[in-house]
Amino acid sequence: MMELLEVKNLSKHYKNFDLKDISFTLPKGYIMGYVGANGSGKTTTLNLITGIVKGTDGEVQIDGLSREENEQAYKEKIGYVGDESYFPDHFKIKHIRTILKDFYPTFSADKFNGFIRDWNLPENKLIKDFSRGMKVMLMFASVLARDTKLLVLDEATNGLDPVMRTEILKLLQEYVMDGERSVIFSTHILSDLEQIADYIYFIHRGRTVLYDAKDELIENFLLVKGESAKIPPALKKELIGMEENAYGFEAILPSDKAELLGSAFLFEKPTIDQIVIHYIMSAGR
Amino acid sequence: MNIIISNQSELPIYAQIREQLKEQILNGQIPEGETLPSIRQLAKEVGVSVITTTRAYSELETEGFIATMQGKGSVVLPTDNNLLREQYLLRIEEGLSTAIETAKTMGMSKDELTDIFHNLLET
Amino acid sequence: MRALHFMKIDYVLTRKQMYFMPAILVLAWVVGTGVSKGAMSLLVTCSYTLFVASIFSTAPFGYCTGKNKGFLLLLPATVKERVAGRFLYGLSFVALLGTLCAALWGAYALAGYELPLWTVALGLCELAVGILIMALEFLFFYLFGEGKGNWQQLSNIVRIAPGMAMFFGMSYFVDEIQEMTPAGTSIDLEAFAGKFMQAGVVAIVVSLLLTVVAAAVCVKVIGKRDYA
Repeated sequence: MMELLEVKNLSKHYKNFDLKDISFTLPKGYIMGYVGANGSGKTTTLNLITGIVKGTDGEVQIDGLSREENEQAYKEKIGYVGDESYFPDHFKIKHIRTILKDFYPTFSADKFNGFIRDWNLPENKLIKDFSRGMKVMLMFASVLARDTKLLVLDEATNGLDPVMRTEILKLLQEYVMDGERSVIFSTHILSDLEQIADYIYFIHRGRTVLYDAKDELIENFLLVKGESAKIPPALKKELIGMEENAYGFEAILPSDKAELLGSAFLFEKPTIDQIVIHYIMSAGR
Repeated sequence: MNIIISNQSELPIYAQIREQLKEQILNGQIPEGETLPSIRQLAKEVGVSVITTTRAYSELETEGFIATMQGKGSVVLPTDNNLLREQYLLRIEEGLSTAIETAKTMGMSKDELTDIFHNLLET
Repeated sequence: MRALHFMKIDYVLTRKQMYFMPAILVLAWVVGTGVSKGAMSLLVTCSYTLFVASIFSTAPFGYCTGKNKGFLLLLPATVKERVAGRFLYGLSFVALLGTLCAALWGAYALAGYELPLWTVALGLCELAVGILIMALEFLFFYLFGEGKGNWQQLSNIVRIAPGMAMFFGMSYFVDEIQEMTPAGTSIDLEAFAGKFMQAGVVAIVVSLLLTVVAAAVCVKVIGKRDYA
């Protein structure tokens, strides 16, 4: 079994939003970035994976197990960190420690206490009085102190300072180090997370746009800049998400159409964020 | 060994890693027989994805710089001196070609260019 | 086992309200002695205590909303275990207050008050009604939630009204009995005490069974829901 996470035709129907046919696999030991604009269905997908939300259609398997087969074992494999604290506000660290101990056989109080110490999390404060960074680190501590197979991070690094983001980056890479565990994280802006992602899944308005290994994705596209007036019609057809200003344009072009460029334009390798932004521009929000 | 990743570079990250390792193997900084860090170790240290380092290693392998053995990791192979020479030759040619092209765009004559070349050699 | 752990979580969630439980019991006793004396006052005290229990036992629903719920939803367990834990919390909470009432009853007996058996039987019936009210409220909150705006006011009525009805009903009943039995005389309810006792026990068993049914309905209905 090389696949850690298998998602097949996952769909969720809401009154005014549809998530449709999300399918991918994430092999053991790899990291996937799940990207898209706000409201594109990222959180819905991750909630479907953790099982908090029930799908209209499709199936999810973690390490060969589906939630329907064994809900308890399935949930034990998952470590989830959200964009906001998901602990009851008026809990203290000791309450969380007790609950973790009660529910998770693999929970290690020593490890947990180690994180609490290392990250200077206050034992005697109510969680609602924690700073945002502290809340995020407490979520990480509660997840990393037990034996999980899949980390699911929903915009977990939003609004954290760069030092913390770097620390989390290292944590994630350490997590997949043994080649047995995987990470899926969602974000609307990759920035520094881009470097550690092995795979990128990009959704827009609940539909799949792109899904590939990150390195492939970057190679498959060029970021083109130049004077708008010089664009020949044949090229114009192929440009994705052209953004014009008074002095020129910027757009994404599939690399296999590079011969249309000639020498009149500047082109460079794009970042995933640039690919995503131009795609969203072409599709409309 | 040293690996420095630049986001400004036009080279993709896997190619940057490949080139830097290649250079250090060729100039002996990483000696023959040395075991390179594992793919995952390197990915973590440099802060890049596992797929990226995997690609860098597998290309070094096809080019004959390293050999990966199950359970033993990736080992630096003896570098052939001709290969080394070839690599340097390639780089000299590249450098000179850029100079020649620049000279052409400004319409410099062959003689003028060779003069510059000789003068630079003297200094 | 995990159901018990969920019950424990509910006690941690609502730990603050435990601090003023003693004060409420004292208040209940004051209310009881204000209405009547001896065994009659105990009936009123108990109905007041169970009235309070019916309000406070629903507290975990209020603490368990929106974002704060995530951690609990992610815990490795089934909906069945979650719901069972919540109902165990409700039952144990009512039982706890019921036990305190029983203790008060015992204290009165030791102090030499005359406690006719039929009042004890009536006390059991009160407990049964208390359990039933708790179960129905839980059913309501599971099916319809806490709600917002006007809906929240409705859920507050649901939280308070049944217990209040029981309390006023009991106070009225005690009043009536007192009017029918001027000081010194006593009506012969004691003759039926044995039957009353049986009825009380049956009422408790039935209320427990209905609680299980309510819990099963909750599992059935919310099992298919998101965020459940």
